[in-house]
Amino acid sequence: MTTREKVAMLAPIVAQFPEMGDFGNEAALLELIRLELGSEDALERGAALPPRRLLHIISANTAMAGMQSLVRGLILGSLNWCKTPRVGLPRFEEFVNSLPESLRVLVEVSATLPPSWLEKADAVVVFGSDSTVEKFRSAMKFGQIFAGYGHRWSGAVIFSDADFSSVQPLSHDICLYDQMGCLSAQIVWLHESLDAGEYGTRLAAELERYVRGNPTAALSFEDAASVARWRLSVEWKTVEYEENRLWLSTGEPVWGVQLNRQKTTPPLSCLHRHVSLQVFSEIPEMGELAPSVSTLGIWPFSPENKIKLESIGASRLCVVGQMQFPQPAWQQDGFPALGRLVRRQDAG
Amino acid sequence: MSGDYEKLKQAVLSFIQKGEGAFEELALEIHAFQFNENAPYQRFCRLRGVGEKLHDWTKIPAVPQQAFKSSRLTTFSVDMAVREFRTSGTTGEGYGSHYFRDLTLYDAAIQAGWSALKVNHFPKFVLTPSPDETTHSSLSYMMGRLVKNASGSFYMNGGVLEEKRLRDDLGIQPVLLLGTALAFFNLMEKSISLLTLPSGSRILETGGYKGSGRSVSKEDFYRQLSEFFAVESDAILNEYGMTELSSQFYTHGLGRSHRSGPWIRHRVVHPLKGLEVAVGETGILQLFDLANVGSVLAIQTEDMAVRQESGFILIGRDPTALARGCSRSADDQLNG
Repeated sequence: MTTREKVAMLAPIVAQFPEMGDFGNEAALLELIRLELGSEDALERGAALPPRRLLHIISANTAMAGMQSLVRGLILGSLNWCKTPRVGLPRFEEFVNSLPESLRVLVEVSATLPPSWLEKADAVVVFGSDSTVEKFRSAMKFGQIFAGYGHRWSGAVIFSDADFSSVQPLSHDICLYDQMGCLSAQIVWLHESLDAGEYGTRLAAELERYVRGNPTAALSFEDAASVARWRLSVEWKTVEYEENRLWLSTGEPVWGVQLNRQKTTPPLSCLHRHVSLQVFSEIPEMGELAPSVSTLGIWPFSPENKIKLESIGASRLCVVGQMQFPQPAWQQDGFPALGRLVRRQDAG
Repeated sequence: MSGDYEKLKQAVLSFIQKGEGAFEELALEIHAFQFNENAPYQRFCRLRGVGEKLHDWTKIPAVPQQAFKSSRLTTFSVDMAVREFRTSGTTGEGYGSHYFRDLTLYDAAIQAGWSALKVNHFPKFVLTPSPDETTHSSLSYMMGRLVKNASGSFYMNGGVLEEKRLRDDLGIQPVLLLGTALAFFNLMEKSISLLTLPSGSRILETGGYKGSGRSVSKEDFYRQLSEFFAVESDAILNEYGMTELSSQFYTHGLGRSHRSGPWIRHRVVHPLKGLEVAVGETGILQLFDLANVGSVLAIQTEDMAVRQESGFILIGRDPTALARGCSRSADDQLNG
């Protein structure tokens, strides 16, 4: 099966999973291949040598990343070994089960990691905590290709917004997928010219409206404990700094907005629709969080505003409202996700 | 309001020492006092929609344990403090301070809690620095009171465990060996031979060891203690306390509830709803310590516990205090 044929078979299946965005777009996938492998037929010509066996380590909150990784593996024609979390990953499994037999035979899923997978894999892709990524990286043998995706977070920067029109798309970026994964906004920087208190009030109202229309499953004890801990922490900050403000849902589904008026960077979110608002004057100060920023949503998205944020080092800058929908060709963590899995073969 | 403080202190003292009074009434009075005299606490209460007057002690807002790191939670001017106990500050966020206007209730709570354990007659061999060496350590202070009220000695000086002196001082009479879990680990790991305690001896360990890099279960820890010191597992006591409190909980052996005197109560609550979980279920531990008259009565700990008919079984630190994002719930260990 040629690369083009594989893409033609994959795209309509992927399109049934809206969260995959342009991964379900045949033309976008072919563009990704051209960009990262050099040409559409690089695999057929032997210019790019794919891993025969590709191991994907997928953590509990990265189903979509796992699905994208699997799409790359299927494009490459690799045998894909997928290690899922012990608690299961229903959406990922649904995706695997929707594949036609000719692609399904290239996928094996297991909630435990057979030692032979790690031993025999030509390439290993890991999504997880920094320590998990490091643990796998240190277990690699010479010659194995390794792609580790550790802890990342995303934020939004609002430079101006007289009519608060960014609130609704920002809420969408926050709420989609329950703020899981690394593309959801966790901290929102508001330019000092904005009425931050009013912005917080409107965002809180929008989050409440969203959860009323999109009920979510009850939180696990662990998640509830995490949310409670974040809330108690920012609640106390509001006690200490009376200029801070706080908006919290009174029941479930939960959401929360903290307006942090202190100079220090606020804590990352406990997820489940909890965000911090931080006022800035020139360029947002992200402190020790800067090295792990993934995506920055910008409002309004303009060349000038984009340039102002380039030095922060995010791997993606996009318009607020599109944070959850990276193009297939997005180089996650700044590396070509597809291209880094193949070896080049030069002639002459 | 010095008069209120003295009045409440005496009332709590009578409750601790003689059982006079009622927890509920005292708790509500202390809440009202702290609402008026402790500014950050009042702001916290107002944020929660709680005023000075309450009719149910379980509605008293529990201050986060971490608040001691960033706020001065006192009902008096810090200039008047006779003692400042500090948290260890091992999390890299600096230390928390618990200020005391006087130590009458602190001492009474130690003594009353200790009397219930019925181990006061043992000579005490203490594996912590003396309170003279670490004036801000509530644990050393407690050990100092216990040694002062009976016989005993400290075997940690300048950060060095004096193992030889400890071995030399042991006779044939049973003793009580007290220390942090980490001190016991250090002793067991560095010692070249077992240290057999006299028959009938007891051990009291406290402080936990998670974060020390040791992945040892409580069962294994107690088995190691049993083998190294030649004591039964049931002869090992555990103290659960914290700098932010004035009172302690105790248990012994494995799988038993922590308990304390009637002047400190606990609730095991659902983290978000704040309601007490059913017996046998896990929740976050809230503590209500009447002896904390000078600071805050109610504290929301970061510890998880299983509610029991009487007391609670401690599970340990809430594991969710981690940066979250792509790494959340990583369930992908090498041998997963």
